[in-house]
Amino acid sequence: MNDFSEYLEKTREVGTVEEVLASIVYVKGLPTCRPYEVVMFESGEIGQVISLTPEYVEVLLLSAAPIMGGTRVTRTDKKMEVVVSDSILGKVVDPLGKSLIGSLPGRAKAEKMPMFTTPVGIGSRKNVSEPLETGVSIVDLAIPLGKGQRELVIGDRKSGKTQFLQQVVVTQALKGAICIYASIAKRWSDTQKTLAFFKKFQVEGKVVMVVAGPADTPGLIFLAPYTALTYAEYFRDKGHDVLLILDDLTAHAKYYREITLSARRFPGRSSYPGDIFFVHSRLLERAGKFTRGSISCLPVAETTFRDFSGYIQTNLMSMTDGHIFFDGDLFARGRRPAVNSFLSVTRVGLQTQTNLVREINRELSKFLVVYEKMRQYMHFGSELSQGTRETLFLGERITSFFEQSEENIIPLNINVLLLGGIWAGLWRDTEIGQMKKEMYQKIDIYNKDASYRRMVNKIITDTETFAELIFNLKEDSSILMGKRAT
Amino acid sequence: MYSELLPLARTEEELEILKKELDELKACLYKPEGVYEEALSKKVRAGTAGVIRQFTAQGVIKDKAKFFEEIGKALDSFKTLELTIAFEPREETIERIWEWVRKNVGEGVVVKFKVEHAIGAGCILVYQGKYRNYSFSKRLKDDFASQKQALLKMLN
Repeated sequence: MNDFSEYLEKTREVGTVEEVLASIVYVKGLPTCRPYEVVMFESGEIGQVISLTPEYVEVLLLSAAPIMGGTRVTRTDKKMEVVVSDSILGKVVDPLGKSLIGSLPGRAKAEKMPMFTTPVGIGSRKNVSEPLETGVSIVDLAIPLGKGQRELVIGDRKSGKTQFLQQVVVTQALKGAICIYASIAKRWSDTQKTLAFFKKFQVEGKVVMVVAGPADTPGLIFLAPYTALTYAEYFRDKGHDVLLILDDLTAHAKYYREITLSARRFPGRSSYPGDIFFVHSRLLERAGKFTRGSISCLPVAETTFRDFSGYIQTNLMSMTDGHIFFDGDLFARGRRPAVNSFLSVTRVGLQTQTNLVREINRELSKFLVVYEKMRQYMHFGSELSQGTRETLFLGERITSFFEQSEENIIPLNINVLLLGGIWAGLWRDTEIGQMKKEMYQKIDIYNKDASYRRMVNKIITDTETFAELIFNLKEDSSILMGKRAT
Repeated sequence: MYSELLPLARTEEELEILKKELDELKACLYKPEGVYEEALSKKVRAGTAGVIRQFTAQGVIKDKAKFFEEIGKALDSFKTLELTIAFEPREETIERIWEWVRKNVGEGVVVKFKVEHAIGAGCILVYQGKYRNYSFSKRLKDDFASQKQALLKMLN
């Protein structure tokens, strides 16, 4: 931004601050000011015009510094813009694009993109057709996602949502996607933990973090997801597949509510303004699968006591292509990740999967329902029929297989093969603890040994059906059991 | 309507003084007889008192309360023309500028003088959010900017 006097000489319009109400400033003057235009205060702070009345211009303050009554304001004749360039990768920036850690490199090749745009029309969009691997076993098999899908991640606070998102970012970054992580109103310490996680997996160079903490102004927090989306659009336009995380939109809605209540807007349901649906939908509508590149968006919504019938939560559900529900009860029982596959939905993810994964998904969903029903008979022990005991035995192993710490990323092909192995009864006589140990050894070999990886990938590619996979594994289990089986 | 009062409010400061005087007189309306007359002679400027007396004599003020209410509203609707100049204006300068404003901008406009020596000469005008810089410093800056190369060449 240039300085105040430069803009004043350019636009030749000036106003004065008449009233300051929290983050809303009422300005008199600026006769030809337009909605969403950026205005600059004499003190160098900036704001965004949110509405116009015959007497006043209503400005949303974007800087933390206090504004005094009588301060002069000028127009900039610009709307909110984000400076974008490839050099932004690996940086932690605020919603105005200022670096929060270290400095930004020279921006000679940088261009500016508008922060608020109309979503791309249907002519430039494509069907969601490619799978999006999350690296989380239960999600990849039970609730698979596709590139360009918008999947809501919903759950109580401290139920493992952020850990899951971090795993997805690492998986996608390792696969070459660009990841944009918008940390909205989260504590700085939490943001640093997320950053440390990315550094640990050496993917920080593929990630842009847009951070607006609770200490920032509500205006700045409000802009955070829009800035993140603008970065995503920049990389999408270059043909990249982009993963966008908006963590979280319920906090975003709360800050928007604070802004609108300060601006004396009429409160609607739960005191949210009438346009809260529009605010979020125009944001999520900008994601999707395009003729060139894709933006897969994982917005987050927080629930209270597992109640996902809240206003913002249901709004977000209706805007997205499904949701992954992180169950607080499962988390309390020690399940990691605490994904409740019965209450989770994926609307377009399945169509992107191979026949094999689709069939596994079908079988798995059916089986898990039966297993959940059978669990109530567990205490009968030896009195149970052979079939029920078999179901419980397999269910226990599958549930245990889905237990996955945030440090572990499981690639899809080895994931499919391991599940096939459990289903084929390869670890039937092995203790669950030992089984998991052996499985993680295989995952480790898969990640490190290219020839083993090729073999596994070939098996998965050549196999058409789940039954065929089971049959082949029963015939020859050496790929999973190695020397142990021979 | 009350154009005789206009010369008493040429600048923003004078407008404030006039408003205070009228408020003072309005407050005396419901006090014992003689208080209003005393306020008119002692608490307001001679010019203001003269105009009020003239209005009374001409029968303009039929209902004093209504008169003060109307005049208060009219004064509140006055617009301000902010004029930044490089010197402290003298009485005749104020008068001349105000006459010019009255003729060219219209009645009901008061001038707010701001003195800023840094502008050198000329003026900066701000009226209803519009900003125009006709100062010498701006001219100088623009000239230096447009002829930067030529000037550097001359100096070298």
